[in-house]
Order: sequence, then C-alpha cells, then structure tokens
Amino acid sequence: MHSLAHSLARCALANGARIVVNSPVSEVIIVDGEAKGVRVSGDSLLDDKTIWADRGVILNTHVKQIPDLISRDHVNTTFVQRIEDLSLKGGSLFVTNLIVKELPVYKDAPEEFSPDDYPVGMSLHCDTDNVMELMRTIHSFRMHPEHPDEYAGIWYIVHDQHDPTRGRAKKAGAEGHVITVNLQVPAPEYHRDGPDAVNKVKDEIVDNIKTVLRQYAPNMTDDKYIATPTNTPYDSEFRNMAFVGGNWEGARSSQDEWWSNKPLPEMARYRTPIAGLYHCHQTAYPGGLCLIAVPYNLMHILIEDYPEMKKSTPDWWYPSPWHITDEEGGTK
Amino acid sequence: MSEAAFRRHRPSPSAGLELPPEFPEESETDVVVIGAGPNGLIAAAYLTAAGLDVTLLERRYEIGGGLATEEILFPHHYANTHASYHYMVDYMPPIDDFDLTGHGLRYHKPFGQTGAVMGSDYVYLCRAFEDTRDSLARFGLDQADVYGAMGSRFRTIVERILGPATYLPPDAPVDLTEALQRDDVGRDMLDLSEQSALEILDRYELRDSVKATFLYMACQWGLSPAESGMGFMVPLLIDRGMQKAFVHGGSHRLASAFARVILRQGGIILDNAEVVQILTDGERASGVMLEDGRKIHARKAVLSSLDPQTTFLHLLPAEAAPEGLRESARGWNWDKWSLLSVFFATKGKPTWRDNRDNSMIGMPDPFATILGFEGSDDVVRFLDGVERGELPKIAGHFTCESAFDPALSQKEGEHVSFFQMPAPYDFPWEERRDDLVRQVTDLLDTHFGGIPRLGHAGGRGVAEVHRAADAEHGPWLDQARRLQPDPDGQQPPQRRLLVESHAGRGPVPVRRLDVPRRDGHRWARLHRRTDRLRRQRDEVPVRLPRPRTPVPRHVLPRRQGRRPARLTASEMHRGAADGGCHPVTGGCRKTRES
Repeated sequence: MHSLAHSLARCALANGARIVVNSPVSEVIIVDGEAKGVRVSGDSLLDDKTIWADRGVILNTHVKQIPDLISRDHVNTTFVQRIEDLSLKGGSLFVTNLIVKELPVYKDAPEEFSPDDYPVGMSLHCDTDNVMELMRTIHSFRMHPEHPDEYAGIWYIVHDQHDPTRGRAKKAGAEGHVITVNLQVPAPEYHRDGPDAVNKVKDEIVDNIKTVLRQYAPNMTDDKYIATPTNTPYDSEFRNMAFVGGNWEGARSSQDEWWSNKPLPEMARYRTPIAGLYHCHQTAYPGGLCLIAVPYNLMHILIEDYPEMKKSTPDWWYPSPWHITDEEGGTK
Repeated sequence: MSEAAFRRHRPSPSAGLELPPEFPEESETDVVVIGAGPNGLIAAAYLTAAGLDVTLLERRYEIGGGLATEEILFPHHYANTHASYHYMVDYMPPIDDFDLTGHGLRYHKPFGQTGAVMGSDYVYLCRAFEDTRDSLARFGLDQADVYGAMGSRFRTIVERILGPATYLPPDAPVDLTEALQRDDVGRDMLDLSEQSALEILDRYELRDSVKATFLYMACQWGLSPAESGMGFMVPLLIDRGMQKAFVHGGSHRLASAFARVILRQGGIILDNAEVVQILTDGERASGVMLEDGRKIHARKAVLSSLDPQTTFLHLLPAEAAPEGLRESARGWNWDKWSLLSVFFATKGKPTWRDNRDNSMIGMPDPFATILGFEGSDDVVRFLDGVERGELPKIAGHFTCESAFDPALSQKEGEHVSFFQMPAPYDFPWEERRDDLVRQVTDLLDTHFGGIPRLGHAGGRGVAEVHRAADAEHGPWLDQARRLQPDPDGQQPPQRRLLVESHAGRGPVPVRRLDVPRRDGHRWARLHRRTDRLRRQRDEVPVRLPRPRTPVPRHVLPRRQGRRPARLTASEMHRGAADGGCHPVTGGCRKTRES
C-alpha cells in the first residue's frame, strides 16, 4: 500500500511541493485570528523553526489533536469541549504479522481450493453468535477476548500470495511467508482496564491466535513460526500520529453525529473557526474512515476561499458540477 | 397618577430640578408582549424582525423566565434554576432564523445522557443510539435488540411527526387524526396514543431496571404511568431524553441572545414592569397598564405569554372578557405535582463510589443520573404517591452541571450540582425543608464521595460538606428560600418548587458580573477587548435575518427516473453538462442555476 504514498509524493514533488519528514508540528501560529504558519517542535529536523504560510495551513491531523495545536484563546470553550466529547468508541484492530515457514493448509477446505488460491481476506472461527458475543465483549464490557473460542472473525491476509513484489520474508536463511492477522479489540481509551491492557497480554493473544489457526490448519505447529511482530492499537497510536486513541476507524460512526447532528457544524466544510486553517483528515467526517475523498472535496472549498486559485482551475483540476458553493447555497 | 408614579416624579430636594421620567407615562407601540420568558422573547424577536414596534414587559428584575441562570448559592457559582437542558434544539427554528449560533450561543450535547442506579443494575444511555445499544447489551444481546426495535420505532415517530409538528400551529384534533391515519407512522402513533406509558413499555421485553429507567424518563415531566391518551409523549420524551443539550454558560444565555436580537431590531424590553391590567377598547385589547400606573397602548395587538388564569382572570377586566372565557379559564387545571430541586455547591466534583457496574468504570459521566429507585414497580408506586400528595421517598435525578459546563463555577475546583425529584405541589414545605435537604444529601452520600474540602486530604461526602458548612457559616442558611404559590393569588403560581441549600465556604467579596467570566489579568484584558469589539459590532447597521420563503412543492426539481447503479465521475459530470439529474438527490443543475 505504501507505493500509493510514494507515487503521490512524487507527483507533489514534481509540481514543486516540498516534503519535510521528521518534523512534528507543535503549534499552528495564529495572528489576528488567522492561521499564518506552523512551529516545528524543537527535537526535530527543523529544530524549533517556524514555517510561515502566506495563504493558510491545512491540518491533516485527527480532529482530537486540533485543540493541542492551536491556542485555546482563539476558539470558544465549547468548541474544545465538543471535540473532547467526540466518541472514539468502536472497535480497533490488534494486528500481528505471522512470519511463517509454510502457508496454512486448511483441513476442511475443498481440495481444489489450494493454498495458492486462498482469497485475499479470510475469516475464521466465525458464526453469527460468535461475532455478536465478540462485539458484546468489546463494545459493552469493554474487554478484549480472553479465550481462543471467543476469537471470532479473525481476518487474515496472505500478502505474498497476491503481491509477489513484496518479496519473501527471509529470516535465518529460511524462506518465509507473511500472514497478517487482524483481531477486533476495544480502542485503548475505552478499554475497561486502561489503555495498555491489551499490550500487557500481547503474547498471550498471539498464542491464542496461533491456537485458533491450528484448529483449522493443523500444519501450523509452533515450529512453523519464524517471528510474530505485532502491533496493538496502542502501538499503532504511537507509530501513526493520526491514530488518536488507537482507533482504526477515526471516530464512532453514528447517525447521531451525522447530518444536522454534526457535533462540530462549524467544521462541516473543512474550515475551522480560525481563518485560513483547514482540516483535511478522515475525521473531518463524523465516523471517520473517509479517506482520500477529503482532499479532493477540500479543493472546492479552497477555490471558494482563494479566488486566485480559480483562474487556473481548468489546467489542474475541475470542480464537481454538483458542488454548491456557499454563495449559491446562501450560506455566505 | 398612581402613588408610585407620583413618587417617581417628585422634584429633586436639592436643586428643585424636575427629573425627566425614565419611561413616558403613556406610550404607544405596535405590539405589547407580556412576559420575557422564552415564549415572549421569541415572539418579540419575530415581531421586531417583521418590522413592528414591540415592547416586551417582564415582571421580574431580569428577563429569561425559565431560562434563568442565577447566583443562588454563592457568588461565582451559577445554577440553572429552571431549565438546565433543552430537548428539541435540533428542531427549533428560531435558533437558525436569528443566527444565534453565529452570535456565540453554543449548545452542547454530552456523550453520556442518562444513567440510572436501579437496584443492582447501572443503566447507561448515550447520545448516540449505537452507544446505548452497546451499553444495554451488557444485560444480554436481546436487550440491545429490544431497545433497537423500540428506539428506532420511537425515533421514526419523532423524526417524521412529533419533531416537525412541534413547530406547526395545532390543527383541529379531527383533522390531525384523519391526516395521521393516512400514513403508517401516523397510525402507529395513534395506536401509541391510546396506551399508557406502562402499557407501551410492557410490550417490549425489557429488563426491569431498563424499563424503570425509561418509565421515569417518560413520566418525570408530569405524565402518569397508567394514564392513557397521552401515549404519544412516550416516544418523544424517551427519544429526545437522550438528546439533551445544554447552553454553554447557562440557560440564560439563550434569553440574552434573543434579547440582543430584539434590541438590535429596534424592540424595547422593560424589566421590573409588572402588568396589572390588559386595557381594552370595545372588544379589542388595546394595551396594558403597569403596576406603577404607566400605560402602554398597542396599535396592533397584546400578546400574553402567561398562563390562561393570570391572563384572563387577573389581567383582563371581568367586564371586558367575552362570554364564557372566564369560565373556561377557571376550568384550567394545574398539575398536582411539580419538581423539588436542591442545589449544591461543593468543593470538588462529586465522584462515584464503586457501586457501578465494573464495565462502566471510566466511561464519561451521564448528564443526569436517576437515583433512589429499585425497579419499575417502585417508580410506579412513587409517582402514584406523589400524585396523591405524598412524598413516599427520596428518589429523583442528579446532575453536576459544572462538570459539563465549567462556566457555571468560576472557582477552581468548586462545583455546582442539583438534585431534582417529582414532588407534590401542596405539601408542608416550610416544616419539612431541612429534613428533606438532609435526606437528599444522605441519598447522594450513598452514591457519591470524595469531595474534599480545601485543606483536607481525605474525602468527605456531600452531606458532610453541607453540614460542616452549615455549622461554620450559619448566616448562609438564611439565604435558603422557597418559592411557592402566592397565598393571595395575585402572583402567577410557580410551577416549580425550589428549595435551595447552601454548602461550601464562607463569604467572598462579591463582584457583580452579568456574564460568567474567568478571573485573572489575562482574561480581564481579553474581555475588555471583547467588550470593545462588541461595541464596535453593535454600531454596525442592523441586518435583519433573511425571511424564510417556503418553496412550493411543485417548484422543487423532481428526481428523474431511477438512479443508475453506478456512475463514474466523468459520467456524473457529463450528466450535469447535459442537464441530467443528480445521482443522489435527483436535483437538476439547470433548475438550480435558473
């Protein structure tokens, strides 16, 4: 998947953008209620430097991070409170990458269904009751499944089966395969026993996953595993800045946060209460999980706010004819 | 001239100078609105927007009526003495019509809406439907399913009928029934209307603690559990009861926002202006007379936002009342019961003792928590008792308001809470007050703890703080007061009984502040700047809100044909160029442009 990021990065560079990595932003600089630049944190490549922006700043961060990046003096109290109140409840994913010497062979699989033809995604241990009970454990009791029998709907992908360019995992001279297994667990900040509860039993969960796998594929004995690098939701949160609360979904998806129930109506069109500051993240949509469409949609809004961009639009982009501008909609 | 008016005009003793009257003895306006509660304010806001001269009159020293946020406990501690939250914010047109949100009015809907300690269960209901289902699934997956079926049925009725219908003038019951019968959802609502709250909830196989919680939610504002004919209120109160929103900074800010709108649009608001008589000219209301003898004539209308008895029995002279009106007004029934409210100021936020379900630890506190009931039979017994004029036990709902709205407590670490319970209207309140307050604090003590007083490391319960405060600061007790129907019947009866108790610390220097503000130099500077900006803004010419012009249905573009299963972006765009229909809404670009 990362090649998509690389190709987009190449496009951006070709068009004259500058990309600076290892530079976490510590603050958005606001002058007279307008976003004028960012300050990069002191322990980074740019070492406490300020980048001034003539036109504006686009935040591609989780909505929950906005209060940390802007001074609270510039927004009203409820704005911050409503952001803090957003539900991140919902499942998150415990991801373990099983590096194995051979692929599982399922005992009950039809013969013509060879390991080479296994589908990309596969669920094991999965019937409706099991899944419902798992959801109840996660969402109602706010616990991770403790017994292998509860591991419903384990979803795994055999990467190198379907994408030979990823190469073979090699360790200790042995040829291996990578199987990614995802298991639903509570998002860390909703875990009954605290955010690091799943981390504490990481190995145990991996062992349970192996147990379940062995029930279906008896060839997967312990000696078949080369390594099992694992990311809990809490780990993901540390490795990916936008994973606030370790929630894969960004935020809870609920009709009570959509349409006229938007908790942050002032940000409905990617604008923020700060002029020149835009929010372009999956969580710009309540419920999150709205990816890639966001920046495309944001362009419509930027063209409204920066008429000079419009002059050259046919050259680089054309707006959706369905877009109703604020002026047309009477909201401006 | 009345005596009061005469006193106002007496010459100044020092200079023999005649002071100009504050407000003319007689004045004329288009419309007089009596009562500056939410109803009077909203009516005046629309009338001034329509370009009429409006004078809005308020008996009290402050506008707002039920939208009161007052320092009844100590300075810097604000309590919403009547409305602490609003149900129908998502539907109410005036908020958008006057762009109140754009002028700083902020509603906040907390994540956790209602909690209930019912016997050994802890029921927890959330703003989001899905979160409530998750929470109820703790009692079994079937409970989530039953709630899902019930909740979506109720929501459909509210969204399709009750919500929008709240903002339509009522039709004749026969017409309404006929219209409802033409529609599935309407028929369902008619069916519900004939049942009582208990019957409606009994149809669902809810666990008793969950049923009891919904029953209390449906009945806490005056419905009797076994009363049939009002069943349509059950979906409304239960569905909207999980959409409670409060005004940040106190309910009074809504009143203030409307007042600003009225003034900006050229209206006049008089407080301390009690109307004693509605003046008539033949069969027409022609104005009002105030307590001090002033007369305000109305060219077009007099609008009363008071109850029918005050309006037609006390304010309208008997000889001016059309035949039968006084009899009808006498037939107006008052509720037998209302709500008892006890307000607290505490050091520290009341925190739960470990008596909640283990899996709920760490979840956001619900806005309101129902306490003191054992189950649904208990709720029914309790409400029956209250209707008979008794107070069977101490049970009701509790909210620590400042935990949700920090602006209500301007003192770091100190909090404002209230406990409310259904209570009979006629009751020996004077004798029982102290006893009741003690019982309430005892109930809260069994559920909450860890409220440290300054200088003490150990936790102390609400009651201890309260009692300690009473002992140390006796004078505060004198502030405790009670509102009840005026025995001589001259005042409109208060629908709300108020027992205020005071806990916390001793006197602090009083600063009169009209809006909650934070202390500290930086904030003061900020506020000075805000004040300046506000003054500048107010000098900007008034822009009236855009009138809403209803679009006749036949003008709206119709969706043409079936939506194709899938459209690529280019197909979509080409469709637009050809004047095709929108793939989702069916709208037509050409129509919109023309």
